[in-house]
Order: sequence, then C-alpha cells, then structure tokens
Amino acid sequence: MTATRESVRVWDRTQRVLHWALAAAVAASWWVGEERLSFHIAAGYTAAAIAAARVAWGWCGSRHARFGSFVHGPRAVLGYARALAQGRARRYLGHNPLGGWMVVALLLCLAIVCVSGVLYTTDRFWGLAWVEQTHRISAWTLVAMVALHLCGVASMSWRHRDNLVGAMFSGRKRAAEGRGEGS
Amino acid sequence: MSVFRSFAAALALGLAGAAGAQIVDHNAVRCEPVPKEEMKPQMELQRQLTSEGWRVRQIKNFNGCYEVYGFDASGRRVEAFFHPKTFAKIGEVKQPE
Repeated sequence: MTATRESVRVWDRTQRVLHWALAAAVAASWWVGEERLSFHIAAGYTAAAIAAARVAWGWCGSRHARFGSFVHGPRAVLGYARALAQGRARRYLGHNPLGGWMVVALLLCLAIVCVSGVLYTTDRFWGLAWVEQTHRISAWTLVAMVALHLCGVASMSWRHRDNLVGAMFSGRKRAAEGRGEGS
Repeated sequence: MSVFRSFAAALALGLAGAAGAQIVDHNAVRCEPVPKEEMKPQMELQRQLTSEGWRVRQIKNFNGCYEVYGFDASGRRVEAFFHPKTFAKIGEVKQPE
C-alpha cells in the first residue's frame, strides 16, 4: 500500500524513540499505580526526563518534530476543525493543526502530573489532599487525552488511508500528492 | 464473586491484624462495616493521634476504614488505616525510602 518508492521521511529517529519511550514510561507508571510506589516513582521520573527531551527536540529536531512546524494559531485550527466537520480536511504530512495542539496538551498535562507527583514525594507536600487530588485528576485526564489521541490517529489513518501507527515506527509516510496537501 | 470478596477481605483483615503493619495491596484493605452512628468522628481520631505526637495531614474514608496521612511522633511519614469505631490500627502502607 505504501510503496517505499513514493514514501518520504517524516518523523526523525530521535522523535520516534522519544515517542515510544514516553508512551512506555507513562503506561508503566499508570499501570502499577500507587502499589509498588518505588517503581511508579522511577517510571514517573523517566517519563518526565523523556518529555523534557521531547520539548527540547521541539526546537532543535528535524522539521516535523519542531513545535514551529505544527503549532498553529486559532484561525488555522478553527478552519481545520470546520473542514474536518465537513469532511474535507486536507492531509498533512506532519501533525495536522488539531493533532499539533494534542501534542502540546499531552505534554502540558504530563507536566502537571509530574510536578504534582514530585511534590508528593517531599515532606512539605506529602499527604496533602490538594496535591493528591491534582495528581489523581491530572493523571486520569492524561489517560483520557491519550484515548483521544488514539482516536485521532485511528480516524486520520482511515480518512487519509495512512498507517499512522506504522509511520511512528518507520518514520516514513506516503509523499504528499500535490494539490490540497499540506506539510 | 461475593464469596471471593469476603474471603479476600477476611484474609486482608486477618493478615493486617496478625502483622498489624505493612500493607502491600492498598485496595485489599477493608474494615468490617460499622453502622454510621457507631463511627466515631474523624476529628476525634485526629485529636487522639495529635496527642500521641502525630502531625496529621489528611484523614479520609477508605473501604470502611479511616485512612490517615501524616507524620508519627518520630517524624516518620505514615499512611495508616484505623478502624472507625475502635480506632484500632489496621495497618500501614510501606513508604519508599
């Protein structure tokens, strides 16, 4: 389906490694939860470090890894959302405008999860209800956002006949087909 | 299912009672149901623990127990479960180093 001859490199290797490592660290930390707390904390710190690296890569990575290439202003986002609702959303090689904000939202939510989690390990903040609630609510919000992210990946894969999950492994996607396709 | 649950609960209580301490599985902690009017107020538990030198950060209901977050008299972090009627200590959750 996606012949190598017409596929192009979209996601660089660092970005792909960071993506799957972050997914694994978050999943591991979420899965063990507060039982086996030492492991939960270790996985959490790992996730925080990977996310920090991803943010840095958002400035110095290759084209499609950079925030500047996929974080669009409100007009572009609304325009894209409208087009999507009308079934005429164009295909993007990198993140589409909604997907771009999904990335930002996931990273921000993860930041809240990590900061509240770290606070909870300190004597100053340990046991405080508001810190516990912030961690719990932001963590479950993150889980919901991951689910939404997966829905976006599935629906865009279907709509544009792409294998977006495969692309996050191989880094390659079908080349843009000229008119009506953006970067 | 319910047989299994009550068995698990009895086991958890038995283990916690026998050891009186370390709880590995948080969610297995259960206190036998007590009629609401027989439950002593959380404030009373807080007062008692404070008089024993604790610093209490939070108390909440958890599976019929009072779950306390705080620091004991030696300043050690403690997350412990108490029976809402007798204030008997059911056990505590092991804290990471």
